[in-house]
Formats: sequence, structure tokens, C-alpha cells
Amino acid sequence: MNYAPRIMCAPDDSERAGPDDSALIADSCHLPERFGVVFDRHAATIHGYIARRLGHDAADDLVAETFLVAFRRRAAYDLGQPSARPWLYGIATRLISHHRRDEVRFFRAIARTGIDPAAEPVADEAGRRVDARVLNRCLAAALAALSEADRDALLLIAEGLSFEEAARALDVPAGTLSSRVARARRKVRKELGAVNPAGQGREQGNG
Amino acid sequence: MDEMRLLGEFRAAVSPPDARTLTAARARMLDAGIRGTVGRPRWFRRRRAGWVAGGLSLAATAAVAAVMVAPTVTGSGGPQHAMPVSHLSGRQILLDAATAAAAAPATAGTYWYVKTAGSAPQPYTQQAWYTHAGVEYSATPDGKEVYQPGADCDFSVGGRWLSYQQLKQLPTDPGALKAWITWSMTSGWQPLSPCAAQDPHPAPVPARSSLNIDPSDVASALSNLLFQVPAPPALRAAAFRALASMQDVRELGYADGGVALAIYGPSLPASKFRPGKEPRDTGVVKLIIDPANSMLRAETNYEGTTQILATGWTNHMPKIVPLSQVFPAKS
Repeated sequence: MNYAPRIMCAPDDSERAGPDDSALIADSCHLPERFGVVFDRHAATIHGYIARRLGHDAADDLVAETFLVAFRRRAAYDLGQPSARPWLYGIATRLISHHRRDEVRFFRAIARTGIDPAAEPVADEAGRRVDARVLNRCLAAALAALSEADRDALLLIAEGLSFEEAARALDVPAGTLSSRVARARRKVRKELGAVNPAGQGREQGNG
Repeated sequence: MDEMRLLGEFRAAVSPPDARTLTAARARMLDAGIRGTVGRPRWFRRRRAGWVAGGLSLAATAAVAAVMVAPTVTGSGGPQHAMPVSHLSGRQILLDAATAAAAAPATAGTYWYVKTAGSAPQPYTQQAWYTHAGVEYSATPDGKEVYQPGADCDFSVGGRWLSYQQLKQLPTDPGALKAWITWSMTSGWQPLSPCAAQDPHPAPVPARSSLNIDPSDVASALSNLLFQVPAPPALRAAAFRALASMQDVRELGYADGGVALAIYGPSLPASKFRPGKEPRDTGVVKLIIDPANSMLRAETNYEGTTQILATGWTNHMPKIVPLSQVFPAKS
């Protein structure tokens, strides 16, 4: 399995033809429709990011919100940054932070039931993927137990952002970001290390 | 098991969004965004003396909350995301809030207390106490004391400054209230003389002057009436009804602490002040209303979002300290 997340609908920056996001955003100050291209490039990815953390229903709302905020603030965009990805992730992450308790509840529900509402239903869920489900339950429990700052950092890196990009998205120094990621990884690894693959995963308390 | 690989798989398992969802979001962005704007002139200003960055001491906040007289539940005990989205229209939610507001008992106290938070121009939490004369006191950064940030008196409503008495005399008919707000913005800036409220019932508005008033500014001023000033129940109800009468009210679903609504005004003809430019924009005002108690939880206008953490009468205010003690002169 590939290390990087599979990103639906949105080709990688490097494979993409056409002007940089920054050029589109600059144009959009006169031609607002140009911002639609930025939306087309990134909306599905941002939706997936939010859906991973809050589920699809919330993602439907917050992806619209993310781009509304981005559109409104486009005049303040740093045109030195060719890709708008970190910026958009930053806006989405701030919106997600307003739903912190929903997020913890969401992860805890996965930890408890093993059912991932954000995932595509898999026909042979019960058979082949039992191990994966156990691991996912532990992973979800571990994510629920992380501090918000650590979780933000870890999940942005898991999105495929570089440390610099994630730091920019969260508006923290790169050193802070990398220490948050390291701490988060340590905690998650510890949680996963406690899994007994033969039996049930260790379950997080339901408090 | 490598935790990053597992995270990658966990992320990759997310099913793609519904295409219609994205189409709608895109249309909403361009629609609202193009009609909204960046950096337009302000027709009125909300008093925001004394930015206080960062949080306040919990003890101080709790102490204030404990003595609140008005029904001002704070926090996000409201509906959560997982709940089904209401089928009521945005307009109906506002009308229901008006009914609830009208039925609420009139309250009074020594100070009108407003606690707000926001992120523009920088993250802040602000607590302010207003006397009946409209004199404002702001909490010091540690929240333990208050200071008087300026010599301003009176309550800001629309483009005018009103005494508490005048505030209580504002029209309680929604149409008349809207007309008054519009008038207050067209009548130009009044010189601000401390503690001398202006005539709230001036001559009728010349019809053409309202052309330049952005409906979203009116909506924003109406929503200000719901938390920034001690509006009596009938006036709060009128403000909700006036908001419900705006051209386009859309329900955006549950948000933190209530139901989110977007209020759009009509598109206005191109302004003679901005020849060749896009029509003078019609911004969007977003409100979060807690349907349980008709309290406004947040307002978003072109300036950003103001979260309303608490508002109501109180009889207590922390000790007053002089301004010079809070912001010592730098040598």
C-alpha cells in the first residue's frame, strides 16, 4: 500500500497543467470566477481531509465554508506561495477546530464500533479486513486521545503536506510542528503497539 | 505496524464527496463571494475599545457568569453536528426567535455585560460592561479589573449613538426599525460628543439616499441590537423580524451552538461612486442563533466573525482601575 494517501479527483500539484494557484488568486481579485479553478483543484482533497476528521455530513458544510473564507480572504493571500494547498488546509483546520468535541466523538465511535462512517463500504468487511479494522479502531482511539494541536500536525503530515507546508498551514514555526508530529507519532505508535493482532484491539475508555 | 502508513490507509479509505455537494459549494462560494467583498467602507462601527488578546481568567469569567441576570447560557450546549438538519426555513427560524424574544421577560441590572471573542484583526476575547449612560468599561487582560477605554458614552446602533432611554424608544415595528437603521446610516457621521446622545427620531429619510446602503450593513446593525446593546424584548423581536424580512435568508444547518443562517440582500445597481466597477456589492451576514433561547451566538460580516459568549444584565463589575495603570506610558 502506498504511503501517501490516495487523493481523489485532484491531481498532484506537479502533474497539473495551467497557472499556479497564486496566479489564479491574483487574477481572481479582478475576475472572481478564476477562483473557481482553485476550488476545482483542491475542493475534493479538502473535503476528504475534513471527512476523515468529522465525517461526510460535516465535510459537506465545512468544505463550502472553507472556500467561502478563502475567497473572502484572497486579497491577503501570499502570492509568493505558488500552491494554495497549505493555506486551504489551514483554513479548513481552523474550521474543524470549532468542532473539536464532534471530532473526538467521531473517532471514539470508530474505536468503539470498528465502523468507519467516512469510508466506502467494503463488501467483504467482515472477512479479509478484520486485522485492518482492529488496527483502525486502535488508530481512531489514539487520534481521539491526542491533543488538538498534535492531532492537527499529525493529520496534516498524513495528508502529504511537507513539514514546512503544515507549519505554514497551522501558522506555527517548523520546529514546533516537527516536535508536535514526533510526539503524536510516539503516542499513536504506543497505542498501536499495544494491539494484539490475534485478539481484540485495546479499546479506549468511552468517557 | 508503521503508524504513518496506517494513517495513510485510514485517510485513503475516505469515500469521495458527492459531486452535487461540490457543485453546490462552488456555486455558493462564487455567488456569495462575488457579491460579498473585501475591504469596503464601513457605514457604522461597533465599539471595540480595548482589544484584549488571549483568554481571561476562568475564575473571573465564572464569577461574572454567576451573577448574570438575563438568560444567557454560554458554551456550546446547543445542537451538535450529528443531529439532523432542521427543515425549517431560515426565515421561520428568525420568526420563531422573534416570538421567543418577545415573550422573554424584561430584565434590568446595573451593567449591560457583553463578552465576545473573534479572530480579526487578531484573536481576542473581550469583556465589556456598559452603564445605563452607555459608559463602557473593558476588562483588563487578566480579567480581574476593568478600565474605561475612552470617554465615549451612549450605545451604538446603526450609524447613531443613543442613550439607554432612546434605545428603549426605537421602533418596535420591523419595517420602521429597518427604516430607522437605514436612515441612521445615511444621515452621515454625527460629531461624537461624549454623553450627548443624538436625536433618534429625525426627519424622514430622502428615498434616494438609501440606495447606497448595503443591506448587509443593515442586517449587521440589526444583529448588533441582539447582543451589543440592552434592547428590550419588543425591540429584540423587531430586530429578528426585520432580519427575517431581508430579501434572501438561507438556513445553513447546525453550527456550534445553534443554527446558522445566511442573510443576503438584493443586488444593488452600480454605484455612481464606483464607475466601471462591479455593482456595489451585497455582502452576506451570517448568524448563528440558538433556537432554544433566541440568543445570537455568532455574527459574521465582512469584518470577520464575532462570537457572542455572554450577554445580559449584571449587577457586578470588577474593580475599576485607571487607564494609565493598564497601559502605562512608555518612556
